[in-house]
Amino acid sequence: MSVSRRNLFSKFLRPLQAGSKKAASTVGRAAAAGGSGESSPMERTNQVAVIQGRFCLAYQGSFCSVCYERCPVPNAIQLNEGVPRIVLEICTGCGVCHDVCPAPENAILVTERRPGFGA
Amino acid sequence: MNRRESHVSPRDPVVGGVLVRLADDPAHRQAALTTLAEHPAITLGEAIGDWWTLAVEAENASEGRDLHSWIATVPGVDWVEVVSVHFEGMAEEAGPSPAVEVMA
Amino acid sequence: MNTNTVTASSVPAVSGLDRRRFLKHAALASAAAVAATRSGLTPPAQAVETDTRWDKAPCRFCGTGCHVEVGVRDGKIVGIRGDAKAEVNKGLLCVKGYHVGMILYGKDRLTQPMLRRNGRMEVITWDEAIDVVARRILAAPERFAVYGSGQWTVAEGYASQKLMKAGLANNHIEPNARLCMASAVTGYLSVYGVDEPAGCYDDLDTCDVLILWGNNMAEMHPVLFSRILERRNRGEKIRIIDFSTRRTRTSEFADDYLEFRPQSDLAIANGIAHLLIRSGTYSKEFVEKHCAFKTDTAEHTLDGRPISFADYCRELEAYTPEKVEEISGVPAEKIRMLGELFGRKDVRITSVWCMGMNQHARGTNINRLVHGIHLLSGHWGRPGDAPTSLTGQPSACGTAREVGTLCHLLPGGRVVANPEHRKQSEAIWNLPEGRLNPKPGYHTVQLFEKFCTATDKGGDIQTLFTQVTNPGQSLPNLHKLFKSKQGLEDKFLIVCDVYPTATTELADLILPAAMWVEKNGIYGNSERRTQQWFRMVRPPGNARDDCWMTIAIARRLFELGHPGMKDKEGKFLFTFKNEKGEEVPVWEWERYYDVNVDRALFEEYRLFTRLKHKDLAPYDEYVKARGLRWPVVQQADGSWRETKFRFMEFDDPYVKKGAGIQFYHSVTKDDRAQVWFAPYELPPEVPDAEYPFWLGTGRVLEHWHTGTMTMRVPQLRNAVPHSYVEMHPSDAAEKGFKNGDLVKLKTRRGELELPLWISGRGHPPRGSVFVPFFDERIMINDLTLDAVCPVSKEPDYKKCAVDVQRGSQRSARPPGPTI
Repeated sequence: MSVSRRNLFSKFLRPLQAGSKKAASTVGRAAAAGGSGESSPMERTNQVAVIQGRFCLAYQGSFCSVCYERCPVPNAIQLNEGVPRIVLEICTGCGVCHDVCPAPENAILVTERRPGFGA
Repeated sequence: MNRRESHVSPRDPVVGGVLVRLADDPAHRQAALTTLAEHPAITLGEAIGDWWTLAVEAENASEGRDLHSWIATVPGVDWVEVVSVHFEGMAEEAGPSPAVEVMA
Repeated sequence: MNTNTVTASSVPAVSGLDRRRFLKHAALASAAAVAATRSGLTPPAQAVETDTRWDKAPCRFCGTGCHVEVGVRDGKIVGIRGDAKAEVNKGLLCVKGYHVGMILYGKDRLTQPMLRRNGRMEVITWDEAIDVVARRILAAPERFAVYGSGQWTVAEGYASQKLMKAGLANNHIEPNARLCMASAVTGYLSVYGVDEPAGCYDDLDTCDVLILWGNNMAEMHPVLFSRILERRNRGEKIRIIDFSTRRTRTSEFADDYLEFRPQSDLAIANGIAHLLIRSGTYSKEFVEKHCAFKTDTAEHTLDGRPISFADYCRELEAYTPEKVEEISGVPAEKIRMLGELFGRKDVRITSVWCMGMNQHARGTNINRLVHGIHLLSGHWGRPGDAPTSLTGQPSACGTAREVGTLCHLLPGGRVVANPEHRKQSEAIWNLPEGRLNPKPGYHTVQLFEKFCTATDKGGDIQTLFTQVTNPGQSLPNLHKLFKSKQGLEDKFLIVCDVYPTATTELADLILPAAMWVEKNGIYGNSERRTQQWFRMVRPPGNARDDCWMTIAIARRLFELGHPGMKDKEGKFLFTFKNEKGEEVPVWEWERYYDVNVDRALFEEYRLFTRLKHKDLAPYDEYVKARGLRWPVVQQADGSWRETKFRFMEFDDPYVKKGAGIQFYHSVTKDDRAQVWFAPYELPPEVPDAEYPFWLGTGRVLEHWHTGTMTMRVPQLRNAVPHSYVEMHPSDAAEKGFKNGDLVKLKTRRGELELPLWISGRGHPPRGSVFVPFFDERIMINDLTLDAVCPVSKEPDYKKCAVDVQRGSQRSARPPGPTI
């Protein structure tokens, strides 16, 4: 692996995770952790992230690409003309995108990986 | 209540509460949820039992009906049900609770 | 996630809860109730809407000047939404704008005046605080200085200006706009004889080609960039040319991305002019009717030296496309493409810029040259054909530039050195003749040098009063220009602010301020649009309005007998009357809002605005409008009409009938604009063996300036929690750095460690690194250079030489400043 964003953000996120109750309570990570401690965002969980266009700033014609930049899983979020899209097959459901989404109403829905929905 | 209703016109923006049931076929379910979530007029709620809740915004009642029809045609959507319609026209006079016309 | 339990009270305090959103929650709740009933679960409670009052205000952040609607309930901001009635943003906001209401509610707001006693900050009363300031001034009025900002409201800037120049006859007043817009100002002045753009944002709606000169619009003026991209969505063709020293979010939308070496934009602009002359495609008609020519000289003055057109052409001869390629790194064929583009008459070209051209060791010259190619080619004077600078602060134009809170200016475009201008100002202020001081004060960099130098070594500024700005983080070369204040016992720093900052760390007296909609205000945005708002909520604790502080200090000086606080009839300089004609002692805080002080000061200030045809309408007109662009001129029917396009007969009422275009403030008094020649010159510091990389600094979308407001908004802080350094992947690989590694940056002025972000948001070319300046834990301005443009005195934050090494394993400094 040459250059991955994962290395970078594991460092970036450490103070954030420690300081943010919200991050710890994220549906995805809590599920991924199986109720215990910190887990790797690279582990696939039974959750998956969905972008809600109604809330996503990029979908509204404003500029935002934070979820794309901060996603620790290579290629799980792709950016096309500034608009992010989640690739459900790759998304591990770690919930980092939900934690970092700066939209007034969080645009990332972390939902159950149901049969046919990222499963 | 009557005074308020007199303000409602079919030309006012509406927000509908909608339930959808998705297909069992995995690929279709996935396609449907992504399509619905990305639509700028649709707010995806949560899954409760077999159902997903949606809020659907439209500029008027007729556009609302069109959206309703469109949702029904999205591949992977088995069933659409409009649960409520909320009229924005009453915004200026709204009292402590919005007028909700429950249809189901 | 639990949509069905969302009620008005469980929604975060400031999140844009409006009717539509409420209805959506209600809709989802009703759907969830039905689904729950069917699934045999307990239906959730119904949502409840409560009363929210909405009012308009311009956004607190950048110079775009978007309007927001602010929702207030129970004395607190509960919602922010884009104002659909505003022409600037038509209802859209950027990620910062949506959260602007939350900047009031950081947990560590300053709420009490505090004085440093024996090294500790102790709470004191306002009476004591105002007395301390007044006595410091009285002890040595000529050694007192004020440093404000482009975030001062018009009334705040005007009151400070009057206290200093009219009251104390002291010209040591500067705004941080010196660090930001000064080069644009000297550019406009030396080209048109009067400051500020001729065009406006409407140019963005009609241009065929948009050239971004070192301007990362997608991050810095996102709503304006959305306005442009929206045209593409509608199917219109607009070609975006992105000139930059690093690839940015903006570059992704550009048709042409042209990467140039730092400082070489001077050569590129000359290269375009060279081609226009050589191919004969410059506009002979425009040049003959409207232009004169000048050159910069070795002394680098504002006036330069007049030259003939033939001399001008001769100066440009050297700037062949090949030569420009050699200097800039931009391929010669691209320079030819630009030359041809400017030579075409069938396209409309708008150039925009901001800090890339202004924070530049030759900032004035690059401003002059970009105006020059528009004038020379005739791409000037039609909607869509315009050179337009953008501002980074909400009232850089309205306050710093128009009220003139700079060390050499008087209100309304007047200068202290001009006897006629002083006389006019003395008349409006009703001062005894000769009160105003003809000698310009210290410009920003000088001012801080003098403040941070021991008094016996010539540091003749002893007391510094700052408002609405954070120089402890934003000045360049901080060790020299700010931190060396520490230990100088007779220096006294007074800081008025809303949160603890890098500046309050060294403060001797802290005055807690009201912010944004906690006070009345007026801002002026990039396109000459003056925007008004009313106070909507109360400031926390004992925080008070900045403008009140200035008036209260003036009053205390008056009481202590300072003669300058009286006009020539012996009346206090800040005398206000209510509707019944009774004087109101507004310096008593309880009485401050008994009259609208903003309105009164604005009406007085208006008298200054006619000289340079920057006419403002009465205050009440702005109450009704979402801003009006000056000159705002009264019509025969009594209504007030704004001006979108200055100097153009079809829109500007001050242009002579039949003139078409008239530069009525021409420095040559012949209605002509000046086309300048200025050479490419090397930057003051270039990479060498010891410091082999270029270092550039700037902002990111989510944070505004030094982050004192945006870092306290959880969503924005989470989105970009930490500063970082961007580097080219090949440079990183060569050094063995991986993404996220801590690296050490070192310049001749300082060093710091921060994490590396490769292939992140920005993509610097090889040999170049970029660091944002928002993070108070990682102050990049410890490293930046304090060299200034010789004309505008604006520092160059965009380029200096830096060394990059592996950092030690310890992490960055602990977060947060302490008092």
